[in-house]
Amino acid sequence: MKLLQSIALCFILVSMTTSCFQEANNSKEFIINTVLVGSGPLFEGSNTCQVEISSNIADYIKENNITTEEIVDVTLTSASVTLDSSSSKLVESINLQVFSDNFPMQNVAFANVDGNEKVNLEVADVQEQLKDILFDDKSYIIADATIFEDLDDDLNLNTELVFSINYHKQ
Amino acid sequence: MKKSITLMGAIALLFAISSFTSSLVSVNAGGDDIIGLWEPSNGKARVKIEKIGSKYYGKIVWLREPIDPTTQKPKVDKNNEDAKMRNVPLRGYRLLKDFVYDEESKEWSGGTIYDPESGSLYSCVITMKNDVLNIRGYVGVKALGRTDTWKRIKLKKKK
Repeated sequence: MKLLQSIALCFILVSMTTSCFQEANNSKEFIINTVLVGSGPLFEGSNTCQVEISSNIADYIKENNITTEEIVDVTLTSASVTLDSSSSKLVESINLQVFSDNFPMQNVAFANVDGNEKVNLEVADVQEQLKDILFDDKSYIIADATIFEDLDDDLNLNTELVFSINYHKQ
Repeated sequence: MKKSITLMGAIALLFAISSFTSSLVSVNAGGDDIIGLWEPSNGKARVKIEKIGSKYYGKIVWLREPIDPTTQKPKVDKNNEDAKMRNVPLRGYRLLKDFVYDEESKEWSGGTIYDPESGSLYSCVITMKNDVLNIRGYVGVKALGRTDTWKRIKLKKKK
C-alpha cells in the first residue's frame, strides 16, 4: 500500500514538473492593429501617446483550440508604426511600452524615425509577462514619442504589433 | 406606517448615495497630488509624473547635461541590460513605473525606479510632504534602501 502511495506521489510530482517546465512545440501569430493617440497640444520633447486595448487574444486562442494552460509564453516579434508625411518629419523617436492594471510596464520596442513614414522598431530581447499583460482585463500600449517642435494637433501613431503565441500541444 | 417606511427608505437611499459618492471621492483623493514636474536633489534632471490608467509614471523631460561628452550626441540608456534598448534617449525616459496610491498609508508604492547611471532597477516607495517627494529605492527590504528628496518645479505659464 505504501509503495503504491509512493509511486502515485512520484507520478504527481513528475507530471507537475513537466507541466511547469514544458517547452513550446507550436506557435501562432497574433496581430494587434491600433492607433496610439497623443492629445494635442504637444510640446517639443517627449510626449505620451496611448491606447487602451481590450485585446481579443482570449477569443483568438479559443478559435484555434488553444487553452491558456497550453501557452508557454507570448513574445513580440515585430512592431511597426506608420506616420503621415507631416508627422514623419516631426517625430524623432518612438519608444513602445505595454502594461496592464495588474502587471508592470515593459519596454518592448524602440526606433529612431529618421524621416520615414513607415517605421520598423527594434524589438527588445528581454520580454517578460507579455502573456499576463495581454490576458489581463485592461491592457495599455504606450509610445513615448519625442518630437522636434510643438504641435497643436493630436499625434496619431498607426501601430501594428505582431506577437507569437508559443504553446505546447500534446 | 407606510409613510414612515417611505421616509426610512428615502433616508437609507440618501445614506447609500452619500456613502457611494464619498467612496468614489476617496479612491483618488490625494493620489493625483503627485502629478507634476519634479527635480531630484542632485538637480541633474527634471521628471514629469503622470497618471496612465490607474497607475503613476514618471519620465525625464529635462537634463542639465543632455549631451554625452564621449559621443557628443544626446544621452541614451547605454547601461540597459538589453543591448537592443541601449539607443533609447534618456530625455523622455520613463524611470518611475507602476506606482499605485494607498489612501491609508498615504504613499505611492508597488513601483520601480530605474537608475540610468548604473542600469539598475530598484523597488521604490514614494511619500509626499509639503510639496517634497521622498523617493525611497531599495532591493528586497525597504529598511535597507536610500531616500532622495525631490522638489516640485512650478512653471510660470506663458503669457
